[in-house]
Amino acid sequence: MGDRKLTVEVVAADKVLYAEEADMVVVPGYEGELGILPLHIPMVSILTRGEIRIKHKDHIDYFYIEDGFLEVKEDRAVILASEAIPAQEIEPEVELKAQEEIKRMIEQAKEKGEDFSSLLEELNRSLTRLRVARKAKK
Amino acid sequence: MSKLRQIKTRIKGVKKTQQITKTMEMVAAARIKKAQARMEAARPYALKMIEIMESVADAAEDVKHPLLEKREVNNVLVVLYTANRGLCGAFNSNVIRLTEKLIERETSLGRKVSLAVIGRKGFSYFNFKGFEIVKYFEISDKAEYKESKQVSDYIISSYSEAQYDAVYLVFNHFKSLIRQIPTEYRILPLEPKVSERKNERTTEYLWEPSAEAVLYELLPRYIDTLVFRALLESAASEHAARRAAMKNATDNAGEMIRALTLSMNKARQAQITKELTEIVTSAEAIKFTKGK
Repeated sequence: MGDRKLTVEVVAADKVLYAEEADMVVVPGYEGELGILPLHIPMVSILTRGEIRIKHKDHIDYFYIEDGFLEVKEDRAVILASEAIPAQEIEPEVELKAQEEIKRMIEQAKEKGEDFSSLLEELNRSLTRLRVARKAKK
Repeated sequence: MSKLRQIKTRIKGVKKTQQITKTMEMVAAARIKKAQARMEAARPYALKMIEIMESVADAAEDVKHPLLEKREVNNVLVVLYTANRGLCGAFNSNVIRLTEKLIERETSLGRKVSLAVIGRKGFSYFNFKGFEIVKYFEISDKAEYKESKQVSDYIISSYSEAQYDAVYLVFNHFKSLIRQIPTEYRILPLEPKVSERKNERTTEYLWEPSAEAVLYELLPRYIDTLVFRALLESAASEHAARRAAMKNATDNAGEMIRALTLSMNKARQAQITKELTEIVTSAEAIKFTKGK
């Protein structure tokens, strides 16, 4: 594939989180993971909750993304994220504690027969964040 | 004596006030810079979003989305952006007045107007007037995206459920450091933007999973962006308005101190003159009695 590079940008609603040249970017697309290499044809995709991997020659940068969009055009991949967190900023202890708390709340909701779908979502988010953080550490 | 002391105490008081207003002015000046930087930082997201929105509107056909639905307007939601604190000139009263005008206009057209308020000042004003506030959003001075999200979530869900048929934002538009314009902006129903550059567009996108699906997901995020943008504008305007108001106050305090110092000097002079006259008179009197 030679030396051709791809500019990857991660843009949140309130600031640009990341803008660097890379060899490849992998994002959680609508129908599974999408890998983008340089010279990709122009594309816009919906992104779902998951991890972003930005591959460089000697290292990989990880991000957690809640959801958003990806635009690829002329060797430039722009990720518009409603919420994105760099893996190194995720604190596993905090996530674990939050998960305990959420699980307890779900149990309570179950007993009372209340709706706990939003709690499940929250738990899912936290689990994904934890997974991304652990993967990045390896 | 007492008059002199009175003036002195007043000067002291005014000086203290001046110190406070001066500090507030400087704090506000620092915050404007931050707020402006945040507006800048939010631009790339908004611009990219609008860009995608324009090309997707060309590609997608016949998308049915609750946010694109146009209904006969019977119920209107007005979202008012005010500050949590006062001492910022006409910042709050300007948007409040505009809101009242808007409410009057819409009501006269036979529509029912509901009011949602951001910021303590707007809340206490309409609460005091006895106007019903359907939703009050407490937003910190940080004005973060997450906080703005609860506002846009409410707008999106209530419009989708046909609770309202039109939604307006009323906020201070940040024109420049010295000019903030109270603005009303109709955010819903959305007018799908068809770009004028349609024919010269060269990029043919691959839509994943489809142009319609992308547009469907994009619309609510677009509302988020607009609501957030207004919040940032309002925050920057608030600091700018406060800085101007505090600068005025500081200048006025200075003017007052000058005037008071003048009358203090006059009072002191008058007292000295009076004392001198008394001494001279009594001396004369003693001389007169001795001479006898």
